[in-house]
Amino acid sequence: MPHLSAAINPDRGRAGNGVRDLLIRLTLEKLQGKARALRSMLGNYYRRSSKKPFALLGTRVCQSLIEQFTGDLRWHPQRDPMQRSMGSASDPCPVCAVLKKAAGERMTSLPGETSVTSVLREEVATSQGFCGRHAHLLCHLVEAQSAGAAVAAFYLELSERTIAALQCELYSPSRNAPAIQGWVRSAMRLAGNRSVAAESWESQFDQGFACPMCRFEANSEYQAIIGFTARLADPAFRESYTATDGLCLPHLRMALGKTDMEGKVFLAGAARDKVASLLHLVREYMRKHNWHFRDEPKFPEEQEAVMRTIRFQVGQPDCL
Amino acid sequence: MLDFSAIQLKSSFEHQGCPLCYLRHKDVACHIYGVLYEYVNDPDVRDSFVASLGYCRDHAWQQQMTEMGRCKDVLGTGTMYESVLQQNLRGIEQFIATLHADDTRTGWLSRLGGKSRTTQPDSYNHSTTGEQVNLPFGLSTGGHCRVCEVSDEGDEPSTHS
Repeated sequence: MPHLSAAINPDRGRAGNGVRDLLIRLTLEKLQGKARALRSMLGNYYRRSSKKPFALLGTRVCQSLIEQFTGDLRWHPQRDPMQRSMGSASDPCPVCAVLKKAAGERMTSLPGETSVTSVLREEVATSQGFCGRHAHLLCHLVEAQSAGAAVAAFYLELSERTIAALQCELYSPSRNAPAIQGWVRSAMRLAGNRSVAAESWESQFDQGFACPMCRFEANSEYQAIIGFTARLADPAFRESYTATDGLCLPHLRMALGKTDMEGKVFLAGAARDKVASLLHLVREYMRKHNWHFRDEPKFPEEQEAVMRTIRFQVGQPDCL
Repeated sequence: MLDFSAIQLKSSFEHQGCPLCYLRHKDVACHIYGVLYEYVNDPDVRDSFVASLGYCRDHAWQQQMTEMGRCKDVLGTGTMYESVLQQNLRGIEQFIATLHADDTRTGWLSRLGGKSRTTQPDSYNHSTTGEQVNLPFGLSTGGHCRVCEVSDEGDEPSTHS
């Protein structure tokens, strides 16, 4: 969808009306086919009213819909379990750890049937589903928990709104107006009181995309930073903090903005010690790769130094 | 006759899923591997790498995984990050020096009954809270992830094709 939007947007793409129509028609066909299949599977599932897991085929259709909405991440190495295991890192930044736990719990609860409230569905539909990162996490969860029905319901609703918006774009009489704006306006006309579809298209592609899970993570991150800086005055907390790898750089920046002068001096001092130690270890790692020093023992902390450096610079890997 | 990007696009149709997403990931993987293979010690590449304090989260881990997967070590990544760590260290030391200078000035001014002035040249704007924290380069970045820029540049011709 992001690429389709870029291709048919006259400000970005160079596609003429004919090509634009063709692209929209092809997308519509695929989307309608998937939505039809998903609708019938969901109907069967709810009719049975049993506790059996959602059909595997439905889960697959749901996953392909998720990919259609968020872009395809299957070739990203972090989505490959083998590659992920190489990047797994222990002893993370405390804020990253809190965040990972909170986001994990929230995400795990999403596919559960009880979480399908109208508010949540509306929220997901407004934001045009989840961002790529969270959508693919959802894919994994759906498969692992065999609980695709709730997610399928989310994405079915989203597909229906999108189909309406795309059809409106295709058959709109005012074809000379810029495509996206026309699309959004016509979707608004068609939707009437359901103007959410139009707004969400606009917000996703024109004004930035606010995935509900990203919003949740940002909020949790903020709370974790507040909690962390509030506890910095405690000497025992400081002592245990200095024994760890400390905050990663993105969270260090945030914490420095939320703490007082004493806290800033402490955090900066701890970061300096940590960076100096990492720098020494990375240099040792590099030196021992030299032929002349090949006989010197290679210590585990030196072997892990580069991974710890990356963890310090950017935080935890995106473990799905 | 098809041009090069059209041929690439056509070959991407053989894969399942969005062809542009496939090309984007392929471009990113090629760029990261190319840098590791040939440009680890290139001054321009290193400059832009240090300016953005390495890559963004996704691409930083992708770089580490690529090298670990292909070479079974992370010497190239480590070599590049050594410069980033040096810059981090300089930035943190500058920040600590500024804090001490501020502290001294605050002490002076508070004794005189005045207020301290805490304006520094660089500033970092926290996106979630909107708060302004003055951080020198090394603690805050001076550029965007180069791999993200490359993949955005690569998206344009594919979209047009």
